[in-house]
Amino acid sequence: MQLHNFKINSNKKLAMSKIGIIIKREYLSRVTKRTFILTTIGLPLVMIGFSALMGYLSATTGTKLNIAVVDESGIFQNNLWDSSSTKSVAYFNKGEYSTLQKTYLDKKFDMLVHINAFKNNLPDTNAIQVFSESSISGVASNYLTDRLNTVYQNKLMLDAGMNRKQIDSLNSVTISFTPITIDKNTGNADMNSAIGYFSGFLIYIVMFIYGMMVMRGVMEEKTNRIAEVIISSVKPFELMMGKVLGIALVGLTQFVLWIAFIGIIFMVSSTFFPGLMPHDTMPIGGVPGMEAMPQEMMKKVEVTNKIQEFMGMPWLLIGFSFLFYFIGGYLLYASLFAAVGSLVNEDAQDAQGLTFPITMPIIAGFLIAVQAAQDPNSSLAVFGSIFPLTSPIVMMSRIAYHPPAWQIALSMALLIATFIGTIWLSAKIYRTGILMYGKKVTWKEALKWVWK
Amino acid sequence: MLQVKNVVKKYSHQLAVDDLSFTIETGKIFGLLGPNGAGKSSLLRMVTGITQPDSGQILFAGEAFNANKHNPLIGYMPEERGLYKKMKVKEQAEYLGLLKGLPKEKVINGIAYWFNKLDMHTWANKKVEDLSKGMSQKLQFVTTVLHQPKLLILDEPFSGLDPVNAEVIKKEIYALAESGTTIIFSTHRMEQVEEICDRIVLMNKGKNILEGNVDVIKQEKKQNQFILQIASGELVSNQLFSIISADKNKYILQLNNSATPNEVLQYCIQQQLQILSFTEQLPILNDIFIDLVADNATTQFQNQ
Repeated sequence: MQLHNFKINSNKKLAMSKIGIIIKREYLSRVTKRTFILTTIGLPLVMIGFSALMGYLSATTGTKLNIAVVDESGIFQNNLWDSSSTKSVAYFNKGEYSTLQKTYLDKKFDMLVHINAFKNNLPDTNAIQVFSESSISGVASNYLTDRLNTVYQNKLMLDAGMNRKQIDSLNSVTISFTPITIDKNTGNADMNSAIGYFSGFLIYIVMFIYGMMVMRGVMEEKTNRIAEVIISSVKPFELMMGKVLGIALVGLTQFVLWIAFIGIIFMVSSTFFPGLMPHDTMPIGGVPGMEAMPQEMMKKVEVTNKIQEFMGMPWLLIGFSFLFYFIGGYLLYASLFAAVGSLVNEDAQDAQGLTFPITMPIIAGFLIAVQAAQDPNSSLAVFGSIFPLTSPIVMMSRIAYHPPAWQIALSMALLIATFIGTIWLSAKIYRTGILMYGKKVTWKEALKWVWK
Repeated sequence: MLQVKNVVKKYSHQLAVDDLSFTIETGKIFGLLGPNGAGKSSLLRMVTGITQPDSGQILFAGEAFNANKHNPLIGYMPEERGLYKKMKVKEQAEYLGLLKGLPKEKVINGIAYWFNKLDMHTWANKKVEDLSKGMSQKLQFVTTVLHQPKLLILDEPFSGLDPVNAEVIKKEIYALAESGTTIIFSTHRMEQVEEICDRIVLMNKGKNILEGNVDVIKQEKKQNQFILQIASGELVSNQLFSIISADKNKYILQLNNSATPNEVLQYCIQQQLQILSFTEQLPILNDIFIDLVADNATTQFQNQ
């Protein structure tokens, strides 16, 4: 009896070590590939480079607007805009309007703003006209509306007897609110939905990229006919799991490296732009002399606020959930992708038809996640974040909003149960499919093997 | 060494192996023959534990076959065989050796031994995708025998090999058999079987249709034909024999039922013919094979 036990143990140990050997090969053969190194280093660099370029472009080379203004009301004269690097403004007399209307384009103006005299100090609907060759951009239009209103309101306030200083201090006041919820950690809604979008999207991408990687690996082994050689030494289940787990480690490695990269970049940028970092936070709110704070300073405070909010997010929960849903979702789908890989023959086109039932719920999950990032407590979002085929993506898009603990627990438990189920199912299909050559197999047939 | 008893394997629509039985003795080279689709590969998958028989029994060295226990004692080179294209030759051999459950140092020693023996050192660090077909066949052979299996199963081991490399592998197969390894050699190439195997089983449609020692089978199937070569003269059919073919001075004679070789020779001497040689023509396996299988195939075809 004891001898018997010992034998089983040693066999188990052997099986474990064989899975280990397979994991090691799957992992090393991918991590040492040039493409892995390039994407791991390259992707963050490309992203950073791209956003830096965007920032640079929008800051410096926005097209310069030339604006002609004819003010018959006398309220806006020399007041509407100052010339700056992005626009030049010229004010004209009333008499020049009729010629200007025909010639402003020839004179290299993009826009002609014509302001009629106000009756009873009130502008009527046709009081202000803006001429341009084609429709003006949203930014220019918003800015124009804003300036017109501010200047007009200032005039009204002056008329009402306020002095210039009072008006300036009024203009510098902006009111925002602090959301107070039962959960202390709940952050700002914009930030939450940004994190929701981002992490939902990330999980979605991860499931596709690494799921497909597993499928391609299985297809390669099958079409290469190496599978039959290996299956004579290890069980099909060991070969499948070795591949699935090996590629999971590849994914985790890539994430760890990306996070390390982002950390390094964060640190480097904090030494170069110390003003942006939280430790330089300025005291805000109710500070005497606030009204004197120049506009630039205000902006800095706003950015600092955002960073503070960012740092204050429940990162531990988000990080843990990400890890959990990455592994859970990956195991669920990677095993199914492995099963598909085992069904495909030479013809790669078959793969497309066979993957369709798997990619459907992933895409559905992503669509729900987009909604959930905005409206995390809708019944669709709650369902999607608990239903195991979509929960990895949808729950990640809700997680920053702190969904109730029972929902998280239920979602996680269901996910674990389901990936155990799909691994079992996939192993049954895989074991037959991997040794079947030259025959086109459908899902319907493959599912029959499960019960054999 | 291996006993197959009444083994049956059914796939969804067809009977791949139908009540098959045979025995293989230790240290012999055993030929498993049959046309394509006869069930050879299905049988070998069961013998290597990849699949299980639906009914019947497989005994390995007298014990019921147990994949965990007996698999490490088997080396299997499937007909559908491949390698990881992106892996280096040596890494590939190591990987497959480790998967057989060999300790690392034994794998390394084994690789050194075989690479040396088959002259593979110069390309040990090449990628598999850069190898010629002969080279990858050699590598596959090495990975099959690396763990010193007691039972070596080779499914069409020479397909695609040039004569030089085939000879090299053949030599190693003989050497392994001499050192006590039992070898199953599965093929539909009869001339190789005739040359290499001691015993054969001929399979068709999942059944054992002929089994035995190669020489004995040939004796049983011989048709009393002789080859006569003479220096000069003319030969005609008579009551002793009829001439099947005549090529210059080489005749193939079909002896009549009662006639003996001695009588034929006596007749030739009486005719004053200069005899150069007189040998019995044994049937080649290929003809026996075609006879048996074609018979089956035509009836099958007519029935359809």
